[in-house]
Amino acid sequence: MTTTPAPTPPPSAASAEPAIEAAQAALAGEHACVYGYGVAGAHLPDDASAALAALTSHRARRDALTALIAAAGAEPVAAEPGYALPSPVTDEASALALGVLLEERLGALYADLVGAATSPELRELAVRGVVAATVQAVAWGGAPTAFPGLDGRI
Amino acid sequence: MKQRVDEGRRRLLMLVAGAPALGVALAACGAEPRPKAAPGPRATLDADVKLRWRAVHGEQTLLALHAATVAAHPGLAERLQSLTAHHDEHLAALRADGPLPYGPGPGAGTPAAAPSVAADADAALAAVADAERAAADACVVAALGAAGPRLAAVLASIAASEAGHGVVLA
Repeated sequence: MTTTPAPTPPPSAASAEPAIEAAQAALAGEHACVYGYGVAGAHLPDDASAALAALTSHRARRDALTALIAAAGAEPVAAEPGYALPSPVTDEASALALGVLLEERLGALYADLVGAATSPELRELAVRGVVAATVQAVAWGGAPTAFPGLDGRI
Repeated sequence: MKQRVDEGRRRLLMLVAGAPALGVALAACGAEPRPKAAPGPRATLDADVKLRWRAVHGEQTLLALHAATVAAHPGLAERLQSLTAHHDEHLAALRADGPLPYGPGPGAGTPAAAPSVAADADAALAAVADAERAAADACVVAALGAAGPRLAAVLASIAASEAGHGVVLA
């Protein structure tokens, strides 16, 4: 975590820390999704075009998070070289299951960020992130729930 | 009209009566105690109560549409049942976050008439899907404006839930 060289920190510096931590967690989740769609994409329906669209939106949010974290003076977390898959992806059903799992976990990370965000930009990215992840999870066949991202925490 | 004055006075009394309990609700959300006279927190508190009130009204509107749709097309009951239950949960969570004034909600205008439902079942279902998506958009806007972190997260989650409804009903 880098610190700003300014002699007097801005008033929001103390409260910004949990926001950056939550943003870093969401960024790590986006990295995992980008990796996951690379693995699952070929097995997903519609000639993988739906997977490509999902991958494109994950990359866009990854880049937006990276920019906001850097602008806050922190070092954005990097992608891991590889990720352990919860189960092997061998066909459409296992690819869909991975897609649902990735999106639901990402939705929870964005829900955390909604509460922790201290800037309007980060709040907006987080709110739209919860919605996008949920829509994608349902599109892959995930069951709709009352409180996506907050299940069991309300 | 005397009745109107009484109605207005009753609402005002409800607002005043609700105030101390709302302070307790805010503290329960982890906010630091502030002096009663501080205008800032009080102003944001009132704004969040309004957001929650609007969201409650939105859920009631969706529940009325679900009920009217199932009444007109009993064949859609199975399809809508679990989604209707989600709106019941949304309503309960929004109400559990603190007392709300009585009434239809700010900006609600005249009490909503019974929702009209298309005679064609597919069209009726499409109308529910449209209403879910519109409600999701409204909750996104509310989540962006909420001062309290918990309310923002709850509204974002409700928005996501309703956007998901829009997907399964499409």
